[in-house]
Amino acid sequence: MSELLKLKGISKEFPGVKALQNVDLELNRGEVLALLGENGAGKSTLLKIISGVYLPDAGEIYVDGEKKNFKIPADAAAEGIGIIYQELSYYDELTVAENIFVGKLPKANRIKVDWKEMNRRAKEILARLNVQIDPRALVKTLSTAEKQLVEIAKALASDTKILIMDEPTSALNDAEVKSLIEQTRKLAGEGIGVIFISHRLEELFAVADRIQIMRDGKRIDSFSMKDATPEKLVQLMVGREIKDMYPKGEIKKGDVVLEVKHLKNKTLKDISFSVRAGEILGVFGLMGAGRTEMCKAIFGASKLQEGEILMHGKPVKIHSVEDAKKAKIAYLPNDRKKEGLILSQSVKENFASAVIDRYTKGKGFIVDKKRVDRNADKWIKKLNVSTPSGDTVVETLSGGNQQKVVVGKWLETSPDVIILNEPTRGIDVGAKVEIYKLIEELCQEGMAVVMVSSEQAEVLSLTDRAIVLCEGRLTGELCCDDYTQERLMEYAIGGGA
Amino acid sequence: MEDVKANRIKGKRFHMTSAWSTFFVWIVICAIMAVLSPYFLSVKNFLSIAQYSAITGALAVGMTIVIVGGGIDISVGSVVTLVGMVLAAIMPASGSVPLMIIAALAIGVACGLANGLLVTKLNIVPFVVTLGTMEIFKGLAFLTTRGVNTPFNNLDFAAIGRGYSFGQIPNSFIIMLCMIVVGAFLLKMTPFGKKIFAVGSNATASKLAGINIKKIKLSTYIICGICAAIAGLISTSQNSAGLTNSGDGAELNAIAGAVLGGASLAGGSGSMVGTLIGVLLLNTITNGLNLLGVSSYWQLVAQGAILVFAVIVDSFKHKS
Repeated sequence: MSELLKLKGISKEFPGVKALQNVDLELNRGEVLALLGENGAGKSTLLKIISGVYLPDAGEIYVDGEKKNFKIPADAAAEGIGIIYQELSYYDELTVAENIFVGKLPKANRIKVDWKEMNRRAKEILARLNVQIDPRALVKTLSTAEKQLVEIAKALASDTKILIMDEPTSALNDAEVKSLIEQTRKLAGEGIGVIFISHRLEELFAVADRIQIMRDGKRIDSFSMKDATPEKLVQLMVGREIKDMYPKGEIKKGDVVLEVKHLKNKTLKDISFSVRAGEILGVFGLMGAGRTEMCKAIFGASKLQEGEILMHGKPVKIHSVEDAKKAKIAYLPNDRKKEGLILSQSVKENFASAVIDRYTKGKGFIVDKKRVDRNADKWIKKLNVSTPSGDTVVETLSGGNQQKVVVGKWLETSPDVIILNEPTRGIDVGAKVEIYKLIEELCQEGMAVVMVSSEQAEVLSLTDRAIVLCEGRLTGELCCDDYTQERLMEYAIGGGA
Repeated sequence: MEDVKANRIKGKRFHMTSAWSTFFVWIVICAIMAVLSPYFLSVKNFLSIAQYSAITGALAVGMTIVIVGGGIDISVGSVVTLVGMVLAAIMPASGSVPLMIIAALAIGVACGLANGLLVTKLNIVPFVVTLGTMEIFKGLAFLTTRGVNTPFNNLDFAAIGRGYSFGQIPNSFIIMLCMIVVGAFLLKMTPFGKKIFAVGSNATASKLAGINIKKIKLSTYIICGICAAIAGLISTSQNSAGLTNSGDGAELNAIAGAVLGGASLAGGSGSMVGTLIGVLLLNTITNGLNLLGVSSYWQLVAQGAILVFAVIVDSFKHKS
């Protein structure tokens, strides 16, 4: 194999932070290199240096053995480096082909775009990826997984030799991840070098040839995937040993806290379940199964046409989020940036945002700033949020710490039941373990937890019982000996008894 | 204050908050005018600037609240005109000042309610809603007196906009300052104000935090309507007439003042102190150009340029 990309001694400093210190990286032709590290380890900075967004303070970049100086992203693109960012950058209102060729539309003459040629070439590229998408379809009509593939096609449309994927699977379900991994292997087979970033270890074992681990802006180690074990990777990544990723304490279950009966609306078709105090109920399903819709309906954020919600055996009327809050139901949204946080505001303001009416003095007219401060300090300590202070803008925190802020904001409402929708999406292993521990602690205190997840391993390890949704229907409830990966998938695709 | 901290965290040492940078620009402009015109640097002239700032300032208080909440209200100029025409129409029947004030406030609440309900119940973009109501309110104003300017003579009423208290301080300026103080209190100190910032920054997350976003938005438009009505009172009193063009373009000055003072048109940021400085800056420039004998046409150009400048500053703030 020949060396496609080589970084030597890359360093980069931002005011107050040494983001990268003397980092090396090698990528061979036809190789998939996994880049692993906690949030803040310097992966994103390294990618931005490879793609020409940042200039390194020191170090050298070689492409095909030639030394290169990338001043702007276009320089890197000219060398055949394509990058797919974590936040997808597609145009909803344009067609698939237009998205693929954006900025380089094939032209029939000086003025006119050659639509036929464009659609033909788009079809070619999509065929290369083994996907059946109409090049003339509007991107907004595609699923998240298909949008991801369009992004890859976009990278392939220019002669890409090196493809960088920054957490391409964070919004995909297991089946879609599997197909993405297949596409990635296929591209590597064609001689493209791929750098693949993901927090899900099982994916890395499936997709990568070699792995490089980073921590605190340094390269810790790099070795063949054959020599890797999950324990070894986690240990290298966090710099300490994590023995039990999933807590397995015996918790006594109490009475039924939340019970829903025959929930029906546009998406939901007759969903009933119950959850006890001290219990974690898993909710599994593929994308579009109606999991989020179910959460929002229970939480009063979405309309219910029929159905009954009972708390502690008594029916409650929930028409709005305020009603749900009064009924002591809390909800952690799956999209923390859009739905969970007010990114431009401070940590303390976010911690107080669900209870601001209670933190008042002067007959409720004036915000009690001292209580807002004390509340933030309490949760920062309790949840081990790493932030310079309560005044820090929440946008600057890492994903895991942002998630802790959303959790704290809801725990302050002292709920009896908390619905967690993908609580560990896009956060690093260290923070995941902390969230798992927290969920267990909540159960020990007698809270009922409903946990929605699209990671099978997470659902299976953390819960004793799960319900599975498919196309808005409840297709199965699993527990005990029945509770296996195969059965979960079977029900999720609508099969099962 | 929030901005200062945020910038410190991001490590930008030379980035000032909008309110402070606007204040700095204001000082510079005052210095330039003081050199160019011997009449500029006098107590009398500054009191005159204060008096002329009152109408824009009163409008800008409401505008700031709406903008922080993620909206915009371009109908406020027409509300000023409408208030003037209605008051001029009922003045001959009753000269009672309290009645005038109640009538004006009622018009303000009604206009704000109409805007707010259209925005929240029908989910129409605020710019389009208030563009429509701007025409409607103006049409109603013309209908009141069949489009005729209507002067009146009422010395008690004239004292609102033209009188002075504590020696030489214009009443209109005192009214505006009170509004700024109340507005700042609402935005900074109350749960209601915190919710306006939250809704303006991220409506979805606010809804999922249990904030009644429709109620908050509706309230901001009603407050804005009331502020416009007070501006209308001051204007009508200063003119001692209902004039068909009294509110023309006033909404743009109010928006310019708010944006110059640090309010972001994307919602979620802004401050009353900033808005006050922004409004004073605008009126200082007009006053200075008047003293220098610059024609009113060029003054329009200058005002427009300042608005564009403010929006450019706003967009830079968003990029950073």
